[in-house]
Amino acid sequence: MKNFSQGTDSNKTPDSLDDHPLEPSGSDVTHGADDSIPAFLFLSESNPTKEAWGILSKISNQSISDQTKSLLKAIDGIIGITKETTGGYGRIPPLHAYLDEDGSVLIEWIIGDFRIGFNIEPNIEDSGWHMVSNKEMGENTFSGQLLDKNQIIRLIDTIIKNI
Amino acid sequence: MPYPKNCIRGIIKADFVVKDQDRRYATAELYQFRGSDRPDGMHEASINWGADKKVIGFTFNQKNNDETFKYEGGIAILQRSELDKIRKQYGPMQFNYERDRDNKDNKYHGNLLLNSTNMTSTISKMIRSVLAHHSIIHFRHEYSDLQPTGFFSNLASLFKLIVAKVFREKP
Repeated sequence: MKNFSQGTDSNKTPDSLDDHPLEPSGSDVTHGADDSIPAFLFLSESNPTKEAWGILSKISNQSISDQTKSLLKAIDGIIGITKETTGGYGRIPPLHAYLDEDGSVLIEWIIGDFRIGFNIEPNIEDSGWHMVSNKEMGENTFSGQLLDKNQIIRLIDTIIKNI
Repeated sequence: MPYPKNCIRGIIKADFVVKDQDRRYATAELYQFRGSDRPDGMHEASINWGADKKVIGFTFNQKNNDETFKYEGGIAILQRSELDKIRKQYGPMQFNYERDRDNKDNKYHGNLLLNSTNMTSTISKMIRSVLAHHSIIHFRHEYSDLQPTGFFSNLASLFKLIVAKVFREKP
């Protein structure tokens, strides 16, 4: 039997529709976090940014393309350093990137109970990052601009060291 | 009349759900708010309100014009309490929800509403992220009482056609 869980409320059945829980009727699904798997280890062969790099071929705006490259390079750099210092045994979750309908690029890094998002806009001053967590992580939201490279590096470094 | 405790966002593309280990998550891409000519300037993301237990089957069985199922990617269930938190934080003029009482084909229909004109792109995308992060994903195959799709659906349709033909051709 497999355990599936969400980023939030992982142990909570949606108590929706009042008395009618929206439970699947199939036999292979239960809810709840799978604690048997260490959440995020570093696998030496994993490449968490591989998929995100693929977005570059779809971007026509030069500024968005440059900002995306710069961000992914920074993330790759920090992952590389962390792998070296931790011995490279485990994995971190992949980053997902897509073109939004408004022409911006969204990069999401979903890390269990929280997620980090980067929105890359044509004007760098409009580009930013945000962090969202669920109840287990205090249901916090944070956001900021992408302008401050040092802040971004500190943010990514903190994320990677804490997953 | 109070709003139901949950709402459902249909997932039109499998890409809107990512899996990591045995976990599944909606991406913020699922919550795309589209422009409308509403006088309040709100942009809409369509939902079905969880007014009764039939809404799940109803949503999964919603079809496109070409008779394919609309939400092959599954459904995302959101608790209204999460919507209320966002509404409280940003104000009802920026984020809200509504029922669509005029929709005769879908009594469950409603909208999430976002007015991003007075907020930064980062904040509007963060709100979409919050919605995605609180979404519980379900797939069609987890509901055994639903009409199957793909091969089995085609097989069932073929079987129905054959039966209809055989019985019609009987003297």
